[in-house]
Amino acid sequence: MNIIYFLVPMALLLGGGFAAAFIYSSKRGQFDDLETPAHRMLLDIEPETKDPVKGNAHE
Amino acid sequence: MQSSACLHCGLDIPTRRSVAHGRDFCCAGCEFVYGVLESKGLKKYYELRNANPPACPIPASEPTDDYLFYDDPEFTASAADNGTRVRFYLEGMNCTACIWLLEKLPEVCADVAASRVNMSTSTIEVTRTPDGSFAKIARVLSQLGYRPHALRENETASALQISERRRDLIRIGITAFLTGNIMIMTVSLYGGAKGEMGSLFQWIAAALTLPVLTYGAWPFYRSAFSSLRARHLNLDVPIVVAVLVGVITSLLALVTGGTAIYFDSLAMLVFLLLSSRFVLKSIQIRNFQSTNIEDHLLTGTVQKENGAGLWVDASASALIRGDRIILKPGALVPVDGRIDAGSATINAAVLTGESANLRLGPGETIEAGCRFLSGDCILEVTAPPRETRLAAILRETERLAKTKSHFVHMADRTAHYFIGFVLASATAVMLYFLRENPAEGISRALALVIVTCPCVFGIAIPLSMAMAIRNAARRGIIVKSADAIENLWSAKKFYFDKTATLTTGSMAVVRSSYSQTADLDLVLGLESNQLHPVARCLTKFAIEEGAKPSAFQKVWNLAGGGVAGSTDGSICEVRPRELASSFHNDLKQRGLATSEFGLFRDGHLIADFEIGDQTRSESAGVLRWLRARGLQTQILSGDRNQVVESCARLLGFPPNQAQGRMTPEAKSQVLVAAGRGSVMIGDGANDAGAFAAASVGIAVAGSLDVSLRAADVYLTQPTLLAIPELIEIAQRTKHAIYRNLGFSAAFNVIAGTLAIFGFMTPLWAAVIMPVSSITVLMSAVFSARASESKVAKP
Repeated sequence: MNIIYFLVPMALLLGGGFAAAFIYSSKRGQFDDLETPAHRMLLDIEPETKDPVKGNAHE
Repeated sequence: MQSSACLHCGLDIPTRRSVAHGRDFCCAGCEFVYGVLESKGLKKYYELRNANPPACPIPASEPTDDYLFYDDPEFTASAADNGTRVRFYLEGMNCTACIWLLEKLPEVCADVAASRVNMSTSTIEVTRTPDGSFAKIARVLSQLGYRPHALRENETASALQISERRRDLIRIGITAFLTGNIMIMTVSLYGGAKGEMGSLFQWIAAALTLPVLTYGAWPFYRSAFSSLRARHLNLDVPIVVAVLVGVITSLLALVTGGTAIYFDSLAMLVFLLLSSRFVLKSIQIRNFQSTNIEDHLLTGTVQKENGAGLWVDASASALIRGDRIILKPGALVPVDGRIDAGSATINAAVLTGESANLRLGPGETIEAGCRFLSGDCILEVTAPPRETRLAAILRETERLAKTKSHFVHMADRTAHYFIGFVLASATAVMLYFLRENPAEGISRALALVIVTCPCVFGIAIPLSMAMAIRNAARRGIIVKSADAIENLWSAKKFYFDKTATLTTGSMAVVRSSYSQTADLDLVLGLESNQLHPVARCLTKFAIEEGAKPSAFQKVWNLAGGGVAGSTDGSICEVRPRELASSFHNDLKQRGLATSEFGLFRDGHLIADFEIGDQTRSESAGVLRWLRARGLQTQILSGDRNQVVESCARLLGFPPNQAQGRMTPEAKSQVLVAAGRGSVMIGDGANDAGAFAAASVGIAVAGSLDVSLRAADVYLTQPTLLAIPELIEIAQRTKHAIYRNLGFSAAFNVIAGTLAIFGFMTPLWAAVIMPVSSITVLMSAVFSARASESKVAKP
């Protein structure tokens, strides 16, 4: 049963890694809009579509 | 065979309309938008929309406003990124095709540099080109069928809101992670882990619980503390008490080797509470803080006479008393003023609810908020924009909205008694055992507090409310807060504005008698080039009935009003049936909103038309529906008594339940007097005060932004049918909540009694409590799901 002293910290570490990833992505705004991206991925990406975030002109 | 659905919006085409592009459209707006999309190569919109049923029909609309205030320096100065980026709240954005089209906005409108949609908040962020105009962008959005409302947001406030949301989310995430792991540790204990292993798992669980109970539960401590400081018991007080008592006993048990350890239950409780509050918070429309009407009036430009007697453009906000100005046709009048010279046709419906257009001459006054329709006149400013009657009404509205008595939710009131009772019983039990067996006393009191956890208040009720708001939003009804839902289910009195609420608010032919379409051809031929509002109604009617304009050799205006023309040797006239010296004045003096016009050939009447403000087709049905449920209905209108009476007769109101000539101030007084359970349904600035005073203010589609600010509910579809739907949703929510309360009461009485009499150990309490929570939770979710598909139509 000594393996438990290794496995429990490993499990917590692994979970903690995911929690950290979650915090990181929350802070970067991944969860600010939960609806639009689900629709947006249905639309084809067209070459002339510019990056709306940066507001570049037509390319 | 042509289809009868409009190619743009998919709605039925009311009557035969002109055929363009070889296809049918329901209105000029749709035809225009279709044309634009076709010419820009954006017809894929229709593919996307129709590929994904149910399609989202967006009737294109004529812009209701010129949105010139969005070009005012004061407005652009408040926009982000040096005045180039603005967020608009859009009505009617529902589907993938909408996102596609709106993000293609730069291709439709050259003034847009970039646009990005956020569907969860129904907003679009638009960046303009360096010399682009927000007014033009707003007009394009409006034309496409998405009515825009610029969000005047303080950038730091909105940044704070975003960071608050992220902080809440992170708190939930961490709590969920810890709770999950605590559960895993605890399972081994339930499974019988003993000795060294058992205590190891207990210590790990305790270590993991520590951050949940400090960092995770922090919002509850803060809220409970501030509520105690205000000498008030809120929901968070018993939660905090339960959590603290639980922690202390668990820690004691941990150190002394006892079994009363509840870390898993406590962590789960904190997690569930955090989640349900987050859901409710994110569903409420908190930042629907659109620009207010004062901005609309204060901004924009007029022509002003300068010292040298020349006419120059001037900003409306800079006007002072005594300035002489000229207005643009179609503009909202920014000031109170007196006509110095000339005459003007105005519509005061927004301010007074009066549906008929007024023609005013020299010496007569025009109030701010009226729409200037046509005419050549010089207006002398008697009150600058900030001092007008309208400005005073708006300030009063803001004041009423702020002082709107703090509404106490039914859930909070019930929770209050419930919490007091549970805490008192627990204390009594403890005191009873104090002498003989204090340990037993603590154990029973603890079992009582844990098993009677107020989950139904903390989780199930907020969730039911949130689902109701979401349910309404799917039907195009924007409900700003849960208060409105609760107030609606106990509403007894419904007050309706008339103009543009029970009626459509635009002049149209309400009755006609003619023998053949050729008569309409004559009318169209005579009236098609006239600009008078009556002429436009007749033209629209004739076109919709399929008339083709007849040719006239000569057309002239009649001195007494009306128009005449000669064709094939006979003279045709369209004029008021009773020819008065001046039919405008006549109309005004007799105070009629409807008026009869006749088509005369060589002096003989061959057709007649009645023009008036049409009642909405669904008004009568909605009113019947309300009355059938024993609800009171009443008209509060600013229009003339005669008009209100005829409308009331048509819609089945007894004479004493239709009041005309109500000033905006009088309306809000009626609502203040009506007290709780009163609902005001209206549209104009004259209803804003009443919205603020009513338990629930419902603004119908097309309302001015000022009404939107004061209203609790906003109908985005131009139909009153949404009102029965909304009431049904509120009723179903009420039933779901009452059912949950009943279940919870029964559960708590039984389990609480068992706990008091010592038949339930704290451990059992901790096991049973989540079961009851989950039951009420499921019940809330499923009843909302079921009601979604069951809302009746009158």
